[in-house]
Amino acid sequence: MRSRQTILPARGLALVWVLLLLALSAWLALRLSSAPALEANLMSLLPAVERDPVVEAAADRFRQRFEHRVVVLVGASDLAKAQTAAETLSQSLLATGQFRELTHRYDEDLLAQAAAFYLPLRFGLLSDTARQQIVAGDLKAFERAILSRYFAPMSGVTSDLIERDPLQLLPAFLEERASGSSAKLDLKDGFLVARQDGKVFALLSGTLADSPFSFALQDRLMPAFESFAAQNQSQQSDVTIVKAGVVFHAASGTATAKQEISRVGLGALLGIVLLFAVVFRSWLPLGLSLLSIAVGCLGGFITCLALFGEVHLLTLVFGASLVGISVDYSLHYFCDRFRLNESWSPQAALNHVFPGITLGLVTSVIGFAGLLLAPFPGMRQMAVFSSSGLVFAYICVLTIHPLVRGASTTQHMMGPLNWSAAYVRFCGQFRNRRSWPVLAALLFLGAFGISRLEPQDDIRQLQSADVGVLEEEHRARELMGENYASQFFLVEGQNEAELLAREERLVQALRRYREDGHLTGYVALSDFVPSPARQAENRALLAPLIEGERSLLRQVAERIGLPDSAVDRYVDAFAQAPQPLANSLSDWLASPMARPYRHLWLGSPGERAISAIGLQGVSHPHELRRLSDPDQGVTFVDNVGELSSLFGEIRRQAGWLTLASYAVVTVVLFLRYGLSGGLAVMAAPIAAAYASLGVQGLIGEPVSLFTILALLLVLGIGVDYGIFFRESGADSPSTLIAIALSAVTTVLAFGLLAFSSTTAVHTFGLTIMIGICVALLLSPVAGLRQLEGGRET
Amino acid sequence: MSRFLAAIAVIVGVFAGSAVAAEVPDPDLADMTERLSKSAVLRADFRQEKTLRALSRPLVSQGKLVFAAGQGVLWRVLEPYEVFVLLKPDEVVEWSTQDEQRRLDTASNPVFRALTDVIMATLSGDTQSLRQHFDLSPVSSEAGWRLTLRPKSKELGAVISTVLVFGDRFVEGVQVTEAKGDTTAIEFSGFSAEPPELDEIETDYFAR
Repeated sequence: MRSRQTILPARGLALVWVLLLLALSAWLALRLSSAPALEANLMSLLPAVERDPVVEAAADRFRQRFEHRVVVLVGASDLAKAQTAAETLSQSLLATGQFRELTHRYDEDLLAQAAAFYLPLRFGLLSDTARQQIVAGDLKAFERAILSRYFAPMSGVTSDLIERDPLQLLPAFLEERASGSSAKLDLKDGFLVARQDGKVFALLSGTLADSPFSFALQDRLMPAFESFAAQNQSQQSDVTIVKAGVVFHAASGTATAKQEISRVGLGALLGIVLLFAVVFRSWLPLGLSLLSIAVGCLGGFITCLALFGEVHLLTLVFGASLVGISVDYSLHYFCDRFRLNESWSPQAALNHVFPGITLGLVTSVIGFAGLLLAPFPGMRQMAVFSSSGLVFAYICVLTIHPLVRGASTTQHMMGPLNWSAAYVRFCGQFRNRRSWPVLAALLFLGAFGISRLEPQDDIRQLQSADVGVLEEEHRARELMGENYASQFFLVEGQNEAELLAREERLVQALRRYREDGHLTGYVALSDFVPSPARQAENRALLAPLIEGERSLLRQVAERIGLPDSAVDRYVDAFAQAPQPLANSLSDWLASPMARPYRHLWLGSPGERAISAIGLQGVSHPHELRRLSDPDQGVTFVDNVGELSSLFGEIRRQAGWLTLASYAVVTVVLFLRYGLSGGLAVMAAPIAAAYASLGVQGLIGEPVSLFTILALLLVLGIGVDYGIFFRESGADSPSTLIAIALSAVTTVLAFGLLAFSSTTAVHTFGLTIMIGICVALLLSPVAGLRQLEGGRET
Repeated sequence: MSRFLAAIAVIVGVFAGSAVAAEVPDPDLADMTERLSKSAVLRADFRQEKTLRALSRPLVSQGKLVFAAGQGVLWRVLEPYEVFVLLKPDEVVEWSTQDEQRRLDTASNPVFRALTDVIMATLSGDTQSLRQHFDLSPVSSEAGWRLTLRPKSKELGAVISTVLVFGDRFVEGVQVTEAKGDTTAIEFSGFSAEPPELDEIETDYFAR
């Protein structure tokens, strides 16, 4: 206690502090001018899923391709208008320089391409239906299907193909591939076109040059869309666009986050200014408090930037609420004026509040340290931001505030002081047996609420789902007939041949799963390029049907009138055809017909070949996971599912961690206040946590990781209130005023978070808001023993 | 498969002739649609002859067909063997008495889809679509009418050279000449608009 008096008033200390802050600001300015400091990709907040590094790299590449993809459908009342509009939009989008490639014309002669690629392979290609018929020995059905191609209406047999493929194996194979695709786009005059409700849509598809989460990219790209929309609106044209891509979600998320940061931050600031004006009627406390808040935010930002290299946008959303906590230290300092009135001096105030705010800081930091232990990078960043910010604000109060004395008026506060005193006396009645039934009823109600809590671990609660963007994306997918699930399979092999063979085995299982309704479809490279093994197998199946005097081929030729000479030429060609080429997959990938499927090929990292199998309409991911088989190079990737179950795991861990934090803090309090004193101080935060959970259970809010993490903060803040009371004496109405003010500012800050459109932030804010209100109301309990036993010395 | 679709597109377009007349001022086209019988259900016999360069003789098949406005066309091939082909707005279903049915999603093939679009458009009375895919040259005389269609788009033009439709009260024939010289001729006879609704078995077929 004595040392405090000698150290604290030292002006030198304040000078050192100011110089340090200036140096840090200079570093920040340098750092900001050299590299971007903000990060908006949600994935960077999430913990990594444990996986084989090669597989993880491939999964990342696949995900990145998906993230970088942009699709725009330009719609108008007729095709010509849609085409012109698509050309215009394409030009202005390319002018932004944010695309690696952007295509709106698809002039390739796909039929000729397909013929050129598949014709040499035709002796080893069989449709699945034909394969099954031959394997089952049902040659009658196989023959009937062939003849039907010649005689039935709607068949497409042409002279060009008859001599080269009299059994029409190639058309059957290609037809099956085409009917497996869900794509709804037509090729018209070089444009890919979709129709809906009397409108014609032309497709633009492209790849972004940079991450969709890059602010620079969003800032350049989004105005191009806006000006296109504005232009069409002003010209009263009927041109509309439907966009799909991660970048649109990211841009909307950025806009929302920016809006929320400014709303939460400004809202809290405004509330604080108003409060100070009413309570202190002086500019000095307000100025100094704002200074400590600013220093706190600056300190949090600098520390995060130094430790993590960048600060996430979501950290800032949480961090904006730091305003509400960091102001507490200033409040306690200034509210001390109400205790001493005329005899108040900065030194006396500091002496009086120092133990309280120091212990308050320690317990708050213990609360945040709990967040630090969570294996979740985002939470760690928020914890560092908040706790370092608090330390900065705290030092500010100790060094800068005592430098200025200022005028003090306290007369206008007599009313509130009296109400506070009355409330503190009222709290004393909690010890009265008559109030026990009420307490028991509240306890029971809380227990009922808690029993109704449902866990919610879906990681999508981290996204602020913009309904407009989501609907637009659904519409685009509907127009294109494309609906990929977020889950996919990765398949790897020593080389392309093994890869394709492994894919084929997996696809066989997927077909069974499709029949069982676990998914509606899949896209696999091996469907378009059968493995060399499969091609050789098909050839072996076909040989007895083609060779020989009474072969099935000869019978078909007789029925349709194909001359013997033509049949002989075909038989010779079949016998002499080269074995399947191993590199057919790379040839296929290079051709324009592979365009819609090229993203499935993930290259050969190192020696291994890797591809993805896209899935559609997955209804039972856990069933599909069973097909994972590391020995066969098959991995099921379900990031949403895996992260969600990881979230559940972290939520359970965090739950125990929170309990541990409460226990540690209680032990710290026992050391200072003894057993009953410590319990009295803990009464407020424990009741606050209990009430917060109970109320949320009653109103049907689910409990997630963010609820648990918020309870840590409730502990940190709630304990502060108890400590301040205990330290300053329970009959001190000035303490209740300070706590009430600090609670109001905190609730302002976090209450605003509760209105966030991001579920996680909302949950966090709501939990704290309820908790803080309860902690405030119960804080006088911390001084109860003193009330009865008189003031301690 | 495309030229048959073209054929059917035209047939359906002409069967649903009243719609064509509504917007097209061409007197011959108006005359043609004027003459055509308008009924929701029409039955006929057909004989199809495909002449392919690669084969020594034409492929001949015959059978019966049922057209139902708004539902599609059901072809029942009787010779050389029995097979059913049902053309619906968005798909083609093919089946025979022994086999499982085969379904072709017309959505997957651009040319195929262009033609089904035409069918649906004409059925719903939107002649713009017919003109969107083809240039029409109708000729009308005492003896009957002839309508020649030439594809407008490059994609369709690569497959089909011309489509010729002729008839009087009914469509009597369709002749499709492919870009590469193969031809398909279908003759229709034995027209009947009675009964004016699909019977139970036909309804069943159309529901496939």
